[in-house]
Amino acid sequence: MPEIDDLLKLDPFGMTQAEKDAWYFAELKALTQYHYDHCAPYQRLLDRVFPTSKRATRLADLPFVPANLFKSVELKSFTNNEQTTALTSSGTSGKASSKIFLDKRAALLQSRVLKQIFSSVIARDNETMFVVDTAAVQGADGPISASHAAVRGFMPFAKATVFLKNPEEKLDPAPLIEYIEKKTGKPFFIFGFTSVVWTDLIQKLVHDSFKVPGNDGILIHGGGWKRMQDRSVSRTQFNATAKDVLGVRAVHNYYGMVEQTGSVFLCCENGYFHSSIFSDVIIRNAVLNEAVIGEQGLIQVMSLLPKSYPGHSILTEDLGSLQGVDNCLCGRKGRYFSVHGRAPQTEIRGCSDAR
Amino acid sequence: MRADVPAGVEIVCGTLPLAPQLRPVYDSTVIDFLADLSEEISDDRELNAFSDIKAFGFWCRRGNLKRLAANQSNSYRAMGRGVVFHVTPSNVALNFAFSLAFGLLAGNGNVVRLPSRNFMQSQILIDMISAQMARPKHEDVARNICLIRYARSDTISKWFSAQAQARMIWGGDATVESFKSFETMPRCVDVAFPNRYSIAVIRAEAIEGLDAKEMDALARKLFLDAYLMDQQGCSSPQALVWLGTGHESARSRFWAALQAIVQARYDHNISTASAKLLSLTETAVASSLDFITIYDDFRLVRLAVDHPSVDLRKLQNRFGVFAEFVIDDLTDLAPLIHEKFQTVSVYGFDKVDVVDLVQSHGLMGVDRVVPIGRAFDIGPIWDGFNVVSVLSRIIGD
Repeated sequence: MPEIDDLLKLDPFGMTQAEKDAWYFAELKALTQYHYDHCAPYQRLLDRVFPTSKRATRLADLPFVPANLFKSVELKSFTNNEQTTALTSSGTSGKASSKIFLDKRAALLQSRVLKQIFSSVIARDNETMFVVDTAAVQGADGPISASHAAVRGFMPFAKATVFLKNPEEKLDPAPLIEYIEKKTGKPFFIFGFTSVVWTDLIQKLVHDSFKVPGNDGILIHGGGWKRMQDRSVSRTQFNATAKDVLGVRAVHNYYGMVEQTGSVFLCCENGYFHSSIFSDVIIRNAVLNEAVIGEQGLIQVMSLLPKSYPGHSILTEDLGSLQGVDNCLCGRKGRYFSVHGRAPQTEIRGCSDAR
Repeated sequence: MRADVPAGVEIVCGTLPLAPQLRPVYDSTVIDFLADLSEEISDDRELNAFSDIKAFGFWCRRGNLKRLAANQSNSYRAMGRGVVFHVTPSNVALNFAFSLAFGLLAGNGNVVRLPSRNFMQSQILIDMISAQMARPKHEDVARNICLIRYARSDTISKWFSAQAQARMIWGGDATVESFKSFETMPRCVDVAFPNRYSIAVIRAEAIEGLDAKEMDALARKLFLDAYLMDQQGCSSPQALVWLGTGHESARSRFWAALQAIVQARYDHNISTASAKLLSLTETAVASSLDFITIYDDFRLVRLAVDHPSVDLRKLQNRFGVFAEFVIDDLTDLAPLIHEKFQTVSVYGFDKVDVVDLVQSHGLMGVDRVVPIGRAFDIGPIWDGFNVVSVLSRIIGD
């Protein structure tokens, strides 16, 4: 079985599914056993809900934890005296947020894996990263937000980080425009959460009828389409508007979540999300069976990284469909999929609600 | 009632302030009103698609109301208490109509807060009730009805609570707790419906001889009890208890029959699967009881419980998840029954056995014992009360 350090030397999208299957399942199974041994609630969960998973012979047989369980239960796979940082999700729609626990090694690893995954689309030696957020995202003590974790993950890609929003949350694009007008020829990129980039940067510039001059920059955004879906913004529309208004050369989206920071799913130029050698994906239908190619279902994401909490196999509330294996026109190998947004909430029935 | 009706109250039918005309229990004018409504419902073939409206219409037919009136004790004379304020659950379409009928039959004036969610069935029935209220022959009964709607507001809830002689508080623990914190008159009577836990018990030997058709009929009844409200009604069975060991193959046949019905008739979509798994995993992490999850098809999930205890009530799930275990003797149930227990639905033995068990053990739980398939049959006797009796007052023999 390869060590993560060995994997970091490989092309993250260069392995066929068959080559990957040869070791990935065993690795994830071992990780499942590790968490079973180190996290009591997870052990109860497996014994009670996935009693046959110990005899698993393929990836789809391994247990998966619903993403929202991290909101109601504290899941961690270490003893309390180890030093960790708590990471919380942005908690869309004002609901409870997920809380996960990272040790130092994990944070470092996430960053290295992220760098490897993005190495095919952005330069390793960027001059500047422009973040569509306030510097406050860096926070101080206490739990770290998902936004901060993401920004921190991308920091090693650039020599400098510039925040495009002032402490009052107001957009100030001046540093970006000045940088572009200097025409240094040195690579840079803009990073932000999809909905924030759209509302606070793109829509703002559209409203002010301002276009950033054409440049060699790249826009990277992630963090979910739920809010975009609510505003009925399509990917095509997003990308076209972003290129038009920001003048950037390319737009890259990724799919990821706070529970699996680092091992994100990169969106290729054909609009499909790709699993890397660090991650994998299974789509599950309405009875939680593995869906066939093209069939819509819930997206299950897997990652080799989570060690301090059992977040290595998660069933999200996002809808997606598998689009193929090894044969995307972009040339990346492995499974690739589409994301269709958040699954609708079930209607509450029954007598216990009159408010 | 006072005239200063707070802003934000929408009167759907009737008038505020209500000037009730108190009547004896099961008064003929009220029976006439409900029986006319019943006839309208049974004559309207377009309503066949709404089984819940049909069920309400069937319940309030003249014959049934007369039977209920006759069952009411004749040894004393009783009449209404005043104004009943009904708080109905937002997620059950026609619960309001039963609540109103109980209040009317007890002889009261009724202010009914309708569900916030606007179900098609609710609207149809509201229109039919309005139409009856508009008929001159029902003028007197109409004065005892006011249906209202308002967005959640403590101010409005307090205003009605302060003036009610009785309150019907549906909607579970949170609602009951909130309404109990509002001031009421010293003699105000509350009938409160908090969260409950319900089970089904089948005598294993009794299904041994069932042919495919009979097994299907039994499974269909459990399907309605459990899946009709996504297993979230207070009387929906959460556990299936087998009385008597053995008969494994008959039990498997039963589950297979239920699974076939669920596959054919239940809309188990992606959102259902997601919510169901979350509830199941939360239960698994928190439970003090050991169990193993078993399913061929996630639409029908069984939790094989090892050593059931009084914590059984915490294995509360949604969308078709059944705790399952075997008992040798009905008395084995006694230590499991918590005061939260409401309905025990039975098959294959006399329901009186359960009533006897509860009485002989002096148990605080179990307020209803019915045959499987009748979990949702509501009547004036519900949740351990004779609601019509509680909402009325005895004036003399």
